[in-house]
Amino acid sequence: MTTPIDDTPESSDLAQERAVIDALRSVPRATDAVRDAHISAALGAFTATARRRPPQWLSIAAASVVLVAGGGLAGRALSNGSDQPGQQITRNSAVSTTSTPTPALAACITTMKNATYLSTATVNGVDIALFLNTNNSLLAVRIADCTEIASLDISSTTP
Amino acid sequence: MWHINRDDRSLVAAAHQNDTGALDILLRRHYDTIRAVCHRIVIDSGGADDATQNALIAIARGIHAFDNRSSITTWMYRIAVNASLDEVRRTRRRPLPMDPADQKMGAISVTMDDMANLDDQLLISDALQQVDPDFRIPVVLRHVADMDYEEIARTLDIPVGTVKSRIARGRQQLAQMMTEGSL
Repeated sequence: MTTPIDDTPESSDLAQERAVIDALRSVPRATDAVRDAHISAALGAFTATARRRPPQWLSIAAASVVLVAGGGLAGRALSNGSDQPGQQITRNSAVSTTSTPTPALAACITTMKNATYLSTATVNGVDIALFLNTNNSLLAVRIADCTEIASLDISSTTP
Repeated sequence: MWHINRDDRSLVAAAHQNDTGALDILLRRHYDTIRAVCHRIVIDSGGADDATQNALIAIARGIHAFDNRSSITTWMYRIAVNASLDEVRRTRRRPLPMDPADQKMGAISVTMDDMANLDDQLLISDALQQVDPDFRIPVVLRHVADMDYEEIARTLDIPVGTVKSRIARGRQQLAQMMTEGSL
């Protein structure tokens, strides 16, 4: 496939410029060994990166667990340990790491640099952020002051 | 290799699920063009291979953040351009080889088995070295990466009109230099 020369009015130079394009495109191919080495190194970097990222299903499972169980923990923590059966837990956003965070949440995400941000929720009117820690525990953090208010070990509750 | 017939979009989706096999296919599918972009911007063969390696690693590390707002090829070529420009900047800080003949031979790959292309390869490498990167890079993106003007404009963050004029001028300069070089 060759791209057309569609932006030069000087048609007398077409043949000359066609030769330039052909020469530009004829980059000698890499040997199989070079190509394989390049791709292997990239896949190694990918594996290392992926190891630090929880798969999406884990993020969803984690958020679900924390909203049901962790929300109760956060609720108790916010009410000084007393159970409040009627507490309201509202999920604020879909599980995502790409939505635009508020400044307070952004600051909190920066502070919690060793944990993976999952989602936000509101527990008893308090905005919390949910994080997955490197040791597979879920952390509920009050966004306003980035204080951890509850944690939950999910290693035995996810697939 | 059940991935082999899948389109780029579904390979990206699989890579987002940490599927290494999907990324492997994706990188192999676009390897030649990524490498060609790097070689035509960096020119020096060793540096171009370094840029290719760095681009592939950057793609692998960044694929989770790719959000499908542009085409995957545009995104990958943009990374290749940036890796190449980084390599060019590094190369400028290195001492030049003592023997200019070595430098010239380094501009072609040792894998080239068709000796009939040798002159053209040397000519285009020499010509590319003399063209300002502002003109060279749009020409490479247009004619090596097959990107359209809008994609090039977004990649280089310059207006479409500027892209068109730089491609036209860059191509003319290359043609002129190759003609002079072959005389």
